Amino acid sequence: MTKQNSQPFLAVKELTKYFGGLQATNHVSFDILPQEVVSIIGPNGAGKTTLINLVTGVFPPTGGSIWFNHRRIDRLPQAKVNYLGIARTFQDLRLFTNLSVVENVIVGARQRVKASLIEIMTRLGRSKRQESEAVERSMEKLASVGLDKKAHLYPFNLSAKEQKLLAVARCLATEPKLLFLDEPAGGLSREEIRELSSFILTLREKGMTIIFIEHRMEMIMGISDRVIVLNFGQKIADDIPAKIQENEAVLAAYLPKMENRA
Amino acid sequence: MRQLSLAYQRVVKSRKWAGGIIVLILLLLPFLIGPYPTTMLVLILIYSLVAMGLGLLIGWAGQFSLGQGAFFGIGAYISGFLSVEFGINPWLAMLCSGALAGTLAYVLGKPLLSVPGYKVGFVTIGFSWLFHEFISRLEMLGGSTGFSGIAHFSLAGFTFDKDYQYYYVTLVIVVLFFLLNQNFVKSKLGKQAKAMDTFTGGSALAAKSVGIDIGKLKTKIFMIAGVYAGIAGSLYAHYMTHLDPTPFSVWASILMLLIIIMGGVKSTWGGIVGAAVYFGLQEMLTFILGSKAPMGLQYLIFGCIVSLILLFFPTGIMGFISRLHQQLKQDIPSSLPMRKGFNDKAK
Amino acid sequence: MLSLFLEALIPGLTQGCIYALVALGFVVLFSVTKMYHVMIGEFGMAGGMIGATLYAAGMPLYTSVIIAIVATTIISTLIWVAVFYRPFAKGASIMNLKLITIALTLVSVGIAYLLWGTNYKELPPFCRIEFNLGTVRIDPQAPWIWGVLLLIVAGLSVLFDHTLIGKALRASADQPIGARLVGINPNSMAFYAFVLAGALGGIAGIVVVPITMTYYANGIFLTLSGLLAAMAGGPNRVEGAIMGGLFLGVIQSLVGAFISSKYMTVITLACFIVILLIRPQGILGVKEEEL
Repeated sequence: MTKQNSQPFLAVKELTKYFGGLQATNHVSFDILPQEVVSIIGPNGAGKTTLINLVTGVFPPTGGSIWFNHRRIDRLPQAKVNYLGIARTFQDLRLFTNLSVVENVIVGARQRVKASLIEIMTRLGRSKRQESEAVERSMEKLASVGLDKKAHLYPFNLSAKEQKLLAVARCLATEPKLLFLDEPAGGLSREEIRELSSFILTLREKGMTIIFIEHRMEMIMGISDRVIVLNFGQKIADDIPAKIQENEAVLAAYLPKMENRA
Repeated sequence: MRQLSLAYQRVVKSRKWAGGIIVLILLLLPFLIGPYPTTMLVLILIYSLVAMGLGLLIGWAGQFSLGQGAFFGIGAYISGFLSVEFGINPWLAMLCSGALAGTLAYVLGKPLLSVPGYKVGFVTIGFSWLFHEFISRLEMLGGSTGFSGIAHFSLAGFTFDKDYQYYYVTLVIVVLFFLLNQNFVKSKLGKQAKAMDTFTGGSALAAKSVGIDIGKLKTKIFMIAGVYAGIAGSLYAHYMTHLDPTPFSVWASILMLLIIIMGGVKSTWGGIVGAAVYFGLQEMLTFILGSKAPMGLQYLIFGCIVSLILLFFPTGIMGFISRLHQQLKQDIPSSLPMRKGFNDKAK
Repeated sequence: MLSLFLEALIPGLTQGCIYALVALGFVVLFSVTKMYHVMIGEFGMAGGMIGATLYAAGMPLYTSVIIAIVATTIISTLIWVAVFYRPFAKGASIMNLKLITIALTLVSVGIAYLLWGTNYKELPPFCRIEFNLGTVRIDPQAPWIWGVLLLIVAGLSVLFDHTLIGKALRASADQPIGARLVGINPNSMAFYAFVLAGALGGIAGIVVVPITMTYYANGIFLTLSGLLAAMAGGPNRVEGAIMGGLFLGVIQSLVGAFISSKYMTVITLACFIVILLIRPQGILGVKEEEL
């Protein structure tokens, strides 16, 4: 039991990615333990989203490897990676604008009842049970983010904050063990950031591991167990928040930007 | 415009009555229009079945196929062959046709659709061509002259061999598959198909990130399209009682594509509308010219109609009608926009 | 044995040249515009039918041929203006345009049927020299076809490498944004590519008439063969088109001679489909970068 807890949940080893001649990720390595809350920070273009893309299988790395639960996942397709327990949000949300709020969640919902194609098309057998289970689970997730009353609206009816919550609910429906949040606090007020932060901690209590990319200091310093700092595709620091604030390399990378923040 | 909208809303409210009347008309149709137009009606239904399956593939899986003519032919030949060689009951033969066509579609579709980069259009057109060449030379199935002696459908001793009887059989089956189609569209799979369509408001990237296996879903839909075409082929065989390779050429595949695109791929009615236009055109020309119109003229006019519709109504006839319906329902006065982008905003 | 082989190979090569011509038209269009259309064969059919009709009406052979090719070019210009020219095609996506070309194929077959019925039209070989390769008789039209292909390939390479417009076409193909920046209008380039493709199709169509005659539905056959050849050979490379076309012709012929003449098309088609399945970018093609 203890052995499992101290083994890295997610291990990234010497991860490298080239896009043609451009190196987006340069031998990045780090370990994440179960139920950690880790933030990834760095100037724009440092390769943070690329890192998420690599881990979740959007494209394969040029070099290095990615391990999740002792299983090598770096060349698996996205859908498979999600199936294994990793979910992510997008910076630009990418909600399914042609589906309603609850439908957005249903399409990804993990289920116990699985109906075959014939049953689905004839609406016989297990299909009705599958549909109702999907709706039930999705409404649960929506309720957990407070959107259950708006289930039959469409994404364009929601406010910016509600859309972000929908994005998270959509992820949660896939029953992830590891969740990547790409700039979840963008455009939120201080009060909303506090709500979001406590929500993330609740997720951790339920057993999830959370990695988020952020620029907002209150969130980074507020809830991170650790902070990983990237610059020009390289990891330049990996430490607890207090130490990061004093780290010279980090300050140098950030200095022009930090004065405008928090 | 407002007057029109209010009037339309009143009509929509009395939907149940309208529906009942339509069903009645449908049932009496063969007797209203006579035996020859009824044969046209049967053909319209059969072709619309193929088109329906193709519509699901294009509209929901976002995948074009120029091979439906081949699946149509495969269904027809299998059903006919089983009926003639082994005396198998037509209904059973039809099920076999559907199953075999579907299996073949799955086998062909799985490698094609699981990984992006395959030129599906070309492979399917090649497949159509291959099938036609093959079937025209296979002695066992009569080569280019084909074979006859296929049994009609029969139920409890009663043989369906009159035109209006075919009509009812075909109508029932097509309605059945129409409903199956609707069920698919409304199900979670249908929603997943919408989610993965980046062009109409979904996002393939996001769909994959929530575990939707796009390749698997596309293959399933491709298989469904194959089944639809196969069953339609069987209907055709048992209706005509004689089969030859002519209706199953590359032209047939192209025709199916044009029919469904013109009808509208996002609507289950698209296939029916498209097929009706195609066959109806033939009849109209004959009516106008007084005698049977030369085939070239029909191609010419049909081609022009399809081109015009594609230019000005890119979502097909049903696409246009459903947008009209949305606007009249909501009282929106506007010049009807023809652009594709409109669908994303108003719902 | 050797003579049997040659007897099969030569006509196969000749036919392959025709496929290669159509495939070239396709590749020219595709590499510049990343789009393709199925009307190329129809231009071929038009070229062949027009030329044959003119000749039958009494016009000298060479004049008929040249006028036919010019006519094909004019027709493809008209089609471009009617369908692809911006003001008309405002709302249509690329997919729709491709579909419109399919519909137009139907229209052209219809027109051809109305003009000429189902009659076959023929032309004499362009030059009545008969010669043999050992004991193998070579169709007098064959050297013309080979010659035309070589001429066209040479012409295209001169065009693309040494003329300004050729370079502009290539620039449009490789780097559309960069090309725009230096003032090359991609629309004009697309237009030229389209017309060039049509002309190539027309040439292919008329040069084959002395061997196989032509009729109203010939277009589809040419289109399919050319497209399949181009796709299997590699749709973004001129070498791919030529190789694909020649392969198609030769394999079909050899299969017909040595394996089964009844199923030669079937087997050849199966081979090409398999090639497309194993190597979707074509044998000489370049895989597109996935992102």
